Amino acid sequence: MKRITSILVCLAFLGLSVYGQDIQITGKVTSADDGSALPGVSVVIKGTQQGVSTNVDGNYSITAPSDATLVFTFVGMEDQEVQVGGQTTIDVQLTSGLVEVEEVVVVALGMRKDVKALGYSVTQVESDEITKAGSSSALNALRGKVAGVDISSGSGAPGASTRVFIRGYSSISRSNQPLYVIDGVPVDNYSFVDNDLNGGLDFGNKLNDINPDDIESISVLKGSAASVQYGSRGANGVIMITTKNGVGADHLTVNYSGSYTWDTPLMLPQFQNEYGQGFFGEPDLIENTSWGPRMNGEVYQWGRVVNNSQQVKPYVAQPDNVKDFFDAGVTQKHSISVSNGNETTGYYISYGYVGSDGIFPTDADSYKRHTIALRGNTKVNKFDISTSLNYVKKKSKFVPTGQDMSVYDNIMQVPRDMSIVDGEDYNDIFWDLDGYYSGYTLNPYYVLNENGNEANEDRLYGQLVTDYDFTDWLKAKWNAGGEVSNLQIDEWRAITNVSHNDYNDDPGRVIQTQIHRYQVNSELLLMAEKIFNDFYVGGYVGYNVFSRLHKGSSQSVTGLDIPEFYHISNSSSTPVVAYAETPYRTMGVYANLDLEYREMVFLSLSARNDWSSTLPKDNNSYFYPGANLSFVFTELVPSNNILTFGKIRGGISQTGNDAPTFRTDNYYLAAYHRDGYRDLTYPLPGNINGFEVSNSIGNAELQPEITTEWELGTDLRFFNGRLYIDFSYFDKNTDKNILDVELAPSGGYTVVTSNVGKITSEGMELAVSGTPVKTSAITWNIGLNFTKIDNKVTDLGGRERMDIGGTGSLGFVLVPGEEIGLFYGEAPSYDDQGRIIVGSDGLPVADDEYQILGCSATDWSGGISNSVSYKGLTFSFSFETKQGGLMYSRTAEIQYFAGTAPLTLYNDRQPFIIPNSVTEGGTDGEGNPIYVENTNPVTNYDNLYTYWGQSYGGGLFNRRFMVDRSFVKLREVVLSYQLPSSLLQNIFIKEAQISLIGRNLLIWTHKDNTFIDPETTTFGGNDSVSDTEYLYGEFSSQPSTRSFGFALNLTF
Amino acid sequence: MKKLIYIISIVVLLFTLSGCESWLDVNQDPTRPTDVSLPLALSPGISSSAYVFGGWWQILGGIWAQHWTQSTGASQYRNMEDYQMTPSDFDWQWSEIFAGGLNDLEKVRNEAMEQEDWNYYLIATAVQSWTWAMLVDCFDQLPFSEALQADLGILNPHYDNGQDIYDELIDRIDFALEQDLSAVTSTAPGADALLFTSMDDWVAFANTVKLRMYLRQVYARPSVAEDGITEMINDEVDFLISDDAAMTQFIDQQDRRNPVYETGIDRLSGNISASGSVVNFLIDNADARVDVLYNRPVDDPSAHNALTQGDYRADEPTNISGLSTPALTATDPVFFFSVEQVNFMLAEVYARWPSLGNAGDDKLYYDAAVTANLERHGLGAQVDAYIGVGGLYEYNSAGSLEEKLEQIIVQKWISMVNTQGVEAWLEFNRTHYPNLAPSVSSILPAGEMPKRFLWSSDERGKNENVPPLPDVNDKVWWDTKE
Repeated sequence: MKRITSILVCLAFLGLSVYGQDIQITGKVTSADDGSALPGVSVVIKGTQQGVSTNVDGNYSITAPSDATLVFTFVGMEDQEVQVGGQTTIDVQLTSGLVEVEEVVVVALGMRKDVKALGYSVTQVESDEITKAGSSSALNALRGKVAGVDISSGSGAPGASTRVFIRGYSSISRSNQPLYVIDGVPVDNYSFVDNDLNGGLDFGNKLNDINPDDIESISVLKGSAASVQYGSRGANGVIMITTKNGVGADHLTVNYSGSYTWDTPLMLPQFQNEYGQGFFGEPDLIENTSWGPRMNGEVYQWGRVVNNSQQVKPYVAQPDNVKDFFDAGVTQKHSISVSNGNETTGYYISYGYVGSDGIFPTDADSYKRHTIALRGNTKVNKFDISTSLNYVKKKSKFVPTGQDMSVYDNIMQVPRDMSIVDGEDYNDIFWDLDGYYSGYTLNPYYVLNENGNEANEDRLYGQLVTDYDFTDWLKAKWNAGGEVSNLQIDEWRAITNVSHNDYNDDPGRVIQTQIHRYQVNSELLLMAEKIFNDFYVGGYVGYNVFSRLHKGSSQSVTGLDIPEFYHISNSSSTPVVAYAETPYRTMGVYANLDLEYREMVFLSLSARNDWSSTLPKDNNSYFYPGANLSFVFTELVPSNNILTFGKIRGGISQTGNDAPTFRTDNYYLAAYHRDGYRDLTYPLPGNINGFEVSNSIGNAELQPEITTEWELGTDLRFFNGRLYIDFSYFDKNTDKNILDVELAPSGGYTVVTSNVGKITSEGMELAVSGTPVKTSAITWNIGLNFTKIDNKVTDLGGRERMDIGGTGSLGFVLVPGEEIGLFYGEAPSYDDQGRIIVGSDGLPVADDEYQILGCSATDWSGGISNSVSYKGLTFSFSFETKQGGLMYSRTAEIQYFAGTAPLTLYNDRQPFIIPNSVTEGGTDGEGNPIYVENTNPVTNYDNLYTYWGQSYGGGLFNRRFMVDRSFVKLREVVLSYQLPSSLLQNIFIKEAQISLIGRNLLIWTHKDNTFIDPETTTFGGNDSVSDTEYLYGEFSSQPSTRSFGFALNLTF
Repeated sequence: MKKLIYIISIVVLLFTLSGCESWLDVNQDPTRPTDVSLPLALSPGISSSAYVFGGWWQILGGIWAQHWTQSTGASQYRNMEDYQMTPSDFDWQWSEIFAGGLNDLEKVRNEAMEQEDWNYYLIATAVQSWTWAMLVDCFDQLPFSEALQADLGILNPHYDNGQDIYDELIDRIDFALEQDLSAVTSTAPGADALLFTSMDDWVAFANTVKLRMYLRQVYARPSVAEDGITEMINDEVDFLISDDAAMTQFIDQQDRRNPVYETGIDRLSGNISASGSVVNFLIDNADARVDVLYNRPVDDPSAHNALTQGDYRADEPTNISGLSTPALTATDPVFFFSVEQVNFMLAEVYARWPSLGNAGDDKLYYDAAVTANLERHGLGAQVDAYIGVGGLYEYNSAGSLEEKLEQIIVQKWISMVNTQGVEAWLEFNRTHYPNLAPSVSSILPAGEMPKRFLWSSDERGKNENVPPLPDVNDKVWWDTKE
């Protein structure tokens, strides 16, 4: 092994020798108290802001002048300064005691900065926190851990995408996702999410394809003050990922980490278990609803008559029929890395595998990912070069959500007295297409097995980061990165012919989609820093070029000739083809100036000018500045044991955000006509082609959206770092929001893109962490975070309301002065005393006007994490909560329609008068209606169903399908044991840790939400459209999952 | 080492300093054209109207003309049967016709005018006028003089009343007809055009649009109607008496079918059944067309079974397999004008104003119309049994105008079964023939029937100048017959 790695190192850095003024220093930092390795110790070159942190093993490597002084600092420990004096190895022991704060975090452009100097809020999460619960997604591992950051995953499906919103929405129609930067180079986070109501797909976002075990730390830059260097693309915040490298390891390290977890549904709907199959209170053997008679236990013949026979069963409830349908999913994760290096050169190679099969039977929901990472760093002469190459291969399958015969849709309509698993053999005469009892739905096993999809992706990304030192104060840096990815998605549907109805017939279809993406980013920087007596001056100027090209194509045919042969050629129909090509390019120049006085006052000024391809050609340049200040006031007070460190900070900055592509010109389109069900598509038979005027008007006057944000914060540490409080308040205003303004169609167009909207996001973030107990044997750490954001629309260009989504008759709208994302639709009418008005049938009468029915926004969110260590044993757990807000749930809607929701047992399904209802009893002298107490009951025949169920598809009872999205989740539980080194002395394993892990083990929801995990969403996750619809809700999504299992970490 | 520095420097420069304004000039969609030829822009303008009036609105028209009715056991079109329409029921079609067909045709008209391509100017004007007039007939007031100009900044077009729009349309058609169709700047209508390849046919089409508009206002403005028609007859203009104006480019593949079949039969199956209003009339008259126009019930093909209009709550049969259904196919044409329709129009013209022609011209056109319809349905050999002496529908030459009118319009109503529901409903509104009773599920006051469509909710929500919403049973401007 050693030989291979030596060869690799030689190949990579052949012939490069080492000399110069700066030297590479490595070493290990341990605790003087018990000799244990100290990870996360800050090592800073005195008098500069340059520094590093020690890794999990306490090792560090830093390049410093041979005459420099290194400062080692760690929370709860006394600082230590060591003269380098030409040494290349410096091991240090720190003793507990009075401390100073000298923490280094990764900030924009991959630079490391002392937290003291920051005039804005940055949260950094270290590798251990990311990997300990065994999540295959680094982003999911951050859920509930970072104040001001909302992270959620659409569903529990393997490989499902994760969306991140930092400090609320700042754009109505653009993506609100942050920019992801790996080792200083922005990377693509494209997600393939299809929000089609007739079969939604989610093949994940690219950031979830990074091997979490390759990550050293993740640092979240929340405000625009922190991200101004990234221009438009950083307008929604930046997530900086720093990967592991081998520099300074000083010996060959082989690390294996793996986990094996089982996944089960976290929250399934609750069901009524008293009434079974039927309708209008009567039995009906082909019904898909549970509006039948009360289950009485009598044995009866049910289902269809096939070959003159019929099945027999007792008429009793099957309380677990849905639960029994799902399997335990399994996820295994393996990652092996090899790294080594000396003072100047290092490499890191890893291979990672994730194999996941979700909770649906079969592998129709699965995710397989292979990752390979190669990284090398070397320092040659005045060059410092690091390079990496990463390859991801991914194969996933997803069970579609939505209506139109999705698996879950069919499951949710199974009557309460029916088994689902009995139909697993869907070729059985009573369970095949014709034998299946239901006249309206299909056997879910048929759909699951016969229809399907598969996504295959190959992705290659890499970078080259070069530093060149001109002198000790002037340096150039070039960060270059590029990536290319190919995604192929195949979907197929079987030819389905049901003899007794044709609602569910399908002529069979094949859809193929290809997505190719290319991205190049180059960043050229000139950096300088110098100390003049009490002042430090540093800064840089930079030049950025970015180019991305998206190509998407698809081919589909409907109406297959050969059954089960899923190829585009298998149809006499003309294939429908589509192709899109979207180039996007930007250039930017920027500058930053840091001033520092006595490590007490820090001022940072920045400015950037961008040029974007998406803005009008003659007016595509925009400028924005920023400034922030940090004041360490504890420098002015005497050292004491109570307030160890205190800082206040503030910043104000602007960010510009450019337009969506292709909005400046008018176009023609290949013609089609649409009625909401089916289209008429050109070319027409007879070789007739046609192009129609696009319905959207190009706008040659488009301007960038401008976000102005200011923040104030404080960073306080008490009792030698045992208690840490970080608080921020921010206020973010986005003006000139680029909206697709809908037009009256009579003008000949339906949409114009304009700069009309204004939105604000105002909020606070609080993070408190502490170490209540710390003895030589036991350490108890606790962390708490709290976020409250008020995210409002203040102007829509004079419009009262704007649609941003919705389904059926339930709209999802923006209203000026209100929170983002309001539900809007039909509602019952009330008299002036607030009593509900009903008609002669006892049912509510609809109000003439649509009403605002509620708000989707969360009131506040928070998280608590705990970690207790006793010797080698560590027990940690974390909770996350979000409170307030509503969501639309189609799962709820279908449960009311099918009569399976618990509330449909109201009044034992007997006639009832709607409480506090009135009915019209004539009119007064002026012709206004007089309302009198209502005596008309909702009867248990037609009307009872109408009251609960017939609102299916929206309408009067919309409010019933909007459930409270509050929840508390037990996010992570980890019990790990680090084997004592004494046990491992004589074997080749250096370190070993074994853990029991659990994720999302428990959930508590609002009492009205008996339906679904409220974090579930099937909307707004698509990159090409706005993500403001994200909070709308779910359209028959599968249940989310809990995971539990074990993990193993070995170092050789 | 120096060499390495140079190489890296050059690479860096190449990567980063390539920037210039043209490098950023990539914001034109490579997959969509910014300009297309007139023929390519014309077809979607025509097919958009065909798609709307021959698609979803053909279903609405078919139900309101009582050719079709909502089946039992399904519910897609109950609101149409109940006459309980809301503006959002018109959203898709309103957007398709305004932001689609009308706007496309407006572009062609403007471009053709600029290029002095008078052929295409006439074609686009004629088809657009056909559509505008139908829209006036269905909606009455419409955005017209300020419509289709959002790209010029008119985002809230005012509404014009139907009569003014009619007058302007006649002027437009006349202007287009007066241009030099043999000018060298004119493009010959080629295979790209959906309806005709001969300008003579297009001229006849334009005249027929005018004829229909004059007839429509025969009760509201009798003298305008009479003068306009008299002038056309005296000028011996051609009407479309021997060629259908129909879009026929459909094949049995998804998204390429006849739009009613595509959405109403293939996608939303099990909803459209035969109405007793027509079926019983045909059976009572032993009219063989009943078995051509309608399929007998799948469950029991021994006899037709058609619901009373709107009786979808009937206990029996439980679903469409027990009901007669319209005989539709994926490749049925969509008619702008049928030969029968134009001949019936002319029959009415000569019945009203015999002095415009020779005695018996009304019978001539009536017989031609019925014959054309019977031939279309493969019953050409039995024409005599229908219109010959003593035949089922022999023209009542001796009858009063009102008797003749009833005979003409009832036959026209039958000739439009399955194809021209909206036109049949409009003619019922105008003439009150045939004598139809309201749907039994109507929520309107007794005896009331729908007389118009409603402005779409998209339009109402986004245009500040939409007038107050009328009721669905409020009559349009020309609907004044006692």
